[in-house]
Amino acid sequence: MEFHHLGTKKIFVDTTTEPVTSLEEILRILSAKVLQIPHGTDIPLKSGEKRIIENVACPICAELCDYLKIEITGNRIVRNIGGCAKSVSKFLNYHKDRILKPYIRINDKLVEVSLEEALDKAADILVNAKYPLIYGLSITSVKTDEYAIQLAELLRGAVDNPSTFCHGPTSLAVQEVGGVFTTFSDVINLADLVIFWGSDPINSHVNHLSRNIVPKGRFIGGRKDRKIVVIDIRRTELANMADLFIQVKPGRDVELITALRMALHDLDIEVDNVAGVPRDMVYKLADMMASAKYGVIMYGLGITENGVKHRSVEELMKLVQDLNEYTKFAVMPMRGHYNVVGSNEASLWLTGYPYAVDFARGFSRMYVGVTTAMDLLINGDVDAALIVGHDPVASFPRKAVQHLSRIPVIVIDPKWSLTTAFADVIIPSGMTGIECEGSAYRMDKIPIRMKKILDPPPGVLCDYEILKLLIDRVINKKVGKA
Amino acid sequence: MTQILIKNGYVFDPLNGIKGEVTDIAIKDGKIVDPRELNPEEGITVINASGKVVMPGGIDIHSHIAGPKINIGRMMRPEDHYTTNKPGVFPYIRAETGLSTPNVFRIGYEYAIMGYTLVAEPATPPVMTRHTHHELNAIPIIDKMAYVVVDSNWMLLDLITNNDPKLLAAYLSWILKATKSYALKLVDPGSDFAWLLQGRGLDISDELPVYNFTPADIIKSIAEAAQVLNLPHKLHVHCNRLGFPGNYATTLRTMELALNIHRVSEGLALHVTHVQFTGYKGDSWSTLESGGEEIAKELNSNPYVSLDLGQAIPDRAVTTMTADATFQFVLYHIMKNKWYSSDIESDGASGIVPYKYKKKNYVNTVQWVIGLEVALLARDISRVFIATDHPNAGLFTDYPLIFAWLMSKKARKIP
Ligand code: SF4
Ligand SMILES: [Zn+2]
Repeated sequence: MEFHHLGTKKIFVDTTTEPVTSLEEILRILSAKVLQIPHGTDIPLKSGEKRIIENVACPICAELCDYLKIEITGNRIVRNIGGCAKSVSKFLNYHKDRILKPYIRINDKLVEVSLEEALDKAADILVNAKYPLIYGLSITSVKTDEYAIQLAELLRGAVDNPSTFCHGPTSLAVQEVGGVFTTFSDVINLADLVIFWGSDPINSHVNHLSRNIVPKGRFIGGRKDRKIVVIDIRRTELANMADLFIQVKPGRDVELITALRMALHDLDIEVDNVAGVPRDMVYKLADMMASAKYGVIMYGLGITENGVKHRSVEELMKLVQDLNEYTKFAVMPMRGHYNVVGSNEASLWLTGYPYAVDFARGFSRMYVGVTTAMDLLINGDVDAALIVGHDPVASFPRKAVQHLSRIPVIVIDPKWSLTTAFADVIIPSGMTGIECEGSAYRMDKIPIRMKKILDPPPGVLCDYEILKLLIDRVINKKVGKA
Repeated sequence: MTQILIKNGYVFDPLNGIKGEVTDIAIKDGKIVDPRELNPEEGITVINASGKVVMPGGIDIHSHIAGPKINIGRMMRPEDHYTTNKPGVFPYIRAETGLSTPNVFRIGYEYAIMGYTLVAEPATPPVMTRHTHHELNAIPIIDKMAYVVVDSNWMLLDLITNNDPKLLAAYLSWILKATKSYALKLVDPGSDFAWLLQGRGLDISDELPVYNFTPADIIKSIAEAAQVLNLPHKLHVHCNRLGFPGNYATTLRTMELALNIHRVSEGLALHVTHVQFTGYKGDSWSTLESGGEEIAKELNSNPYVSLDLGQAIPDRAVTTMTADATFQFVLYHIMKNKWYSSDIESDGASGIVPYKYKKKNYVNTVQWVIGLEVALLARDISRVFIATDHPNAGLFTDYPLIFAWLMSKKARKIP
């Protein structure tokens, strides 16, 4: 298979005869502390009474579909009606690869311990650290986020969530200029022009189109009454079903946005090609936008993480602000993890900042590039880490991961992950949205109730309960030390 | 068991007609009791209040302290946090930040320091109220409650069309219950619907798009439903045309509606909020005058309404935030700075714009006058509430200034 990226190298994908790299080998390459993690431990399933639970919200992506019907017999989830393939897989396999007991690391082995011992060791690590990092959140409820932030404040550490490398630039753009936003219901009932820009919900938010674009709204017919435009660096699957596809050169979206603003303000565009897009097409698109009744730009990481970062988003916000001089227009950031928005929100009401919050001076500060989790790890600034419900080893750059192999790490998670191989203490937690209840925020900031439909495994607590116990211990130990 | 004795203060208790008597107040397990009920053997915390006033905790009827708007304000205004930080004190006092967009801890601490014990968040869209409660829960010390915005909700507009008051009342009572809110709120009634469809606002007798009724009809229908439901605070109204010269006439017409509704329940029928913003006389910004006198006159002759001031504070940098998306769009054009707007699930919309009141600005000075004029000319001050529509016209921490302005001619002199 060959992918051709405009203006970049050609990339070839070929079949190989080499043996598959083993997990142990991967862990060795990453210099993990433990090479054998006891994965393959499932919750034993027992069939039993059949139950159907309705209006369950899906704890995967920020689409937060809250209309799932989940069928359970005993503690076995047998059916998920309404969820996409990802959702079906998460629910039906919720019991697989679960951490069922607390562990602490002794040399290169993980040893089963009691919850008391694990909490005690974790509290020791945190209290003895000069500048600990708490990272993760967002794949859990806002209650957990609130406790995690409180813990960071008590420890005078730093606390960050994954918007640090996804929609952080959206927050930065709002800090600079504001923005014009909307919600699903308004899109369904009013939007006659939807532009997907650097986003591909067919793969990322699978139910998004059938939920928001296809249905008939109160003031608009279904798909046929809405114009769909896709702007991307390559012809995505989504582009094939769009009314108009515009291919932009990688990393140069901001030029196209600026040109659209110029067209809107009747300024001459002197070049005949903007970021790979013919000038006439720029005028055509600007015209389409200004003459829409209710337009929405649903943008993804193609805009936020394309090199100039928040400059693109800032320009995008200004574009929609300008468009509101002519008509109704808004953006919708296609957020990723199901509660990444909630972790921004909780962080804001507690600290005034949406992510990358530092408490070294006892109050909140946010320096992107300094107090962002990735930078704190790469620069070796933090001397301990508490990871809540996340797998940074799977997503962070090598240098950041390497630092995790050098400092004590505590992991709170329902499932085994690459990061558990870097842990000194592991505390299992229940799965939010399946075994633990709470709130999560959809990509359009609508708060959704996450249900508890099954009990967590015996002896396993919800992550907010664990954090609460950890806070009490940290307070006691710090008071004892003083 | 906690026992507290507050000794020798000048006690004020309007409900029981006590006006400055020097006496003792005893508290046992969170309740006020006869001092003889305290048991000296169990230990009593004695507070010497001699020379001081002892009064019930203050109630703030209108202050934007929780929910999506204030939280976006916090995000949008990092500059509001700079130089305002106060570190926490381990382990129980949390770090504070922000002035016009304070974090939850500063809100709780500052209100408590001012002697306020109950604060109402005055505008939460139904679908967002789960968020509002998250923040209310996080605010320490004080009691909190919220008013739910119901004026541009499509289902509700349909019910008004169908002219079925019983069903309308049932729907509103369900919304109050489902959102755990205290009162019903109208924000520029019907305007968010017009904004959503057409990007414009409405005056009180303009017809809504699609529906063939007016904001006045919305106010009347919901006020009557509130009568049927016998709500303690019937209806909290932010009038149409807020922020436009000449809008005092709309405010007067809104207040008059209280006389015409079918009353089946005790108490006041309507509360008109932040009248300063809707008390503009004159037909342009350059001919602006205070409509405060007319509003006070209407209040004096109309026993069914109460109001709060939305007092403007000169030299105060604020963050304006309302569910009045139309007005915020206008303000954005005046300020030409940051503007945030959001449509919310067919429930309404909102906007946020930073602003600063200047002592030497003519319009701002008139705004300052309106609030004071209303309060000083009102005969029944039990129906006048002091508030700044925090953080729109000023901050709640500015209240002591307003008290001084209202009580002292000298304090009112602009230096
Ligand atoms: S689109 Fe997202 S939230 Fe909806 S079912 Fe799929 S994974 Fe779950
Ligand atoms: Zn208000």
